[in-house]
Amino acid sequence: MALNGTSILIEALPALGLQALADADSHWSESELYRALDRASETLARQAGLRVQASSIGPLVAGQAVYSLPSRFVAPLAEFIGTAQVERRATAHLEALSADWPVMAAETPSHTVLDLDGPGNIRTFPTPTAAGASFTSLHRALLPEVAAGTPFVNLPEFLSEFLYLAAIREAREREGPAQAKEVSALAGDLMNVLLSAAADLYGGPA
Amino acid sequence: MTLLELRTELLRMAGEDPAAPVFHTTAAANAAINAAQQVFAGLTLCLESTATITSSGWTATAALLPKLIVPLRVRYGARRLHPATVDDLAALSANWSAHIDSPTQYLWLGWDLFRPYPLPGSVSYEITYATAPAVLAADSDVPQIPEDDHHELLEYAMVRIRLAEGGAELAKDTPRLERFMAAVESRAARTRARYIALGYDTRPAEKFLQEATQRWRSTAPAS
Repeated sequence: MALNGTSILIEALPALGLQALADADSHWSESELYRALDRASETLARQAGLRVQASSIGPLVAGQAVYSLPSRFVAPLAEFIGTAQVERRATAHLEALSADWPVMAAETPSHTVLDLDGPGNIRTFPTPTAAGASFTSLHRALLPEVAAGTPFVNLPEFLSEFLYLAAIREAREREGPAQAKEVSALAGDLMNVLLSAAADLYGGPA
Repeated sequence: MTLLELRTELLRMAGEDPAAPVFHTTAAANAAINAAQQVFAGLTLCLESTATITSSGWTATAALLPKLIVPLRVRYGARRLHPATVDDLAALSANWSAHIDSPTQYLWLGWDLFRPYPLPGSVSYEITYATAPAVLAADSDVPQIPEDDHHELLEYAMVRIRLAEGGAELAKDTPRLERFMAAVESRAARTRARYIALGYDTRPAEKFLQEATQRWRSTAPAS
């Protein structure tokens, strides 16, 4: 369900002693509360495996081994070239096969490598000599960013409470260690219960 | 119990006049009761629903099943499909994604990504799934979770509205979470037994619910 981050923050206002979002406390701002929601949704994606998507990396280009991963990529599940699922290999494995592996070429790659070209890139092996085949990634992804202008996030409804508690915890923690630390602690404990439930239902940490 | 009955009791528990609450508003009380019901349903998977969707490949089902929590059973016509993992299918053939035939298995990845295997083209599937309850809006609305558990919603809702106060008020009511989690654990156990009997593909969690109940049991005063 598309949950509305703005509605969640408005619901949290009484717990923060406020009438309106614009009446920000001196310790935190409206945008910081939206960032708290965004971090909470990122936690759900990373720790619970909530979002999996199949995205095109792009058509293969002859002579090009390295491609950019889709945006908001978290962790791989599988890659496909054309309709074939290709195997992922560590760099050390390929180096053990041949010292010349980075310059080896074939019409269609049979493997992918994720640990060589930086966190945003994926390498095919061997380097393709033919262009045009589709290159698709099935992967865990972050949810779309939650912000004042883009407040909607698709989540199971019970996890709306996770975002609500995240906003309260964030606000109370920013007020300093002497201010209602029992509130932020309890909010954190309840979030842990919901995160454990989500991890159990949706796949757990990547 | 209706929303009105639950709210009246909740506000009384919070020391308010239910007809004219001062510190805890009617809206905050309603929100707390709704949150309690959503959390209860999410942890116990006690509500189920069935709907038909059409899929021709990778399908994000959240738009088709907006109340989805998790799938419980998938049918293609009269045939029950069995859950699989990507590794299961890759072990069959590297070209599993191109296999066209009548489906026997399905992938369900993350919260909502569905794909049947093999793929017969664009056809319909009957999905039975654990569902979120409807939001309680009118005073006469009744929670969808089992009636036995309606009163337990007040335990969570009470702690939730105490988050506005903190301090001694929150500390006094925090042990209510132990009672709420015990009710969740009990309902989850009954739901789990039922889903096992029905051969459903997903069941409520067990271990972490016991741990969560134990976590708040340690905060409850000795009786």
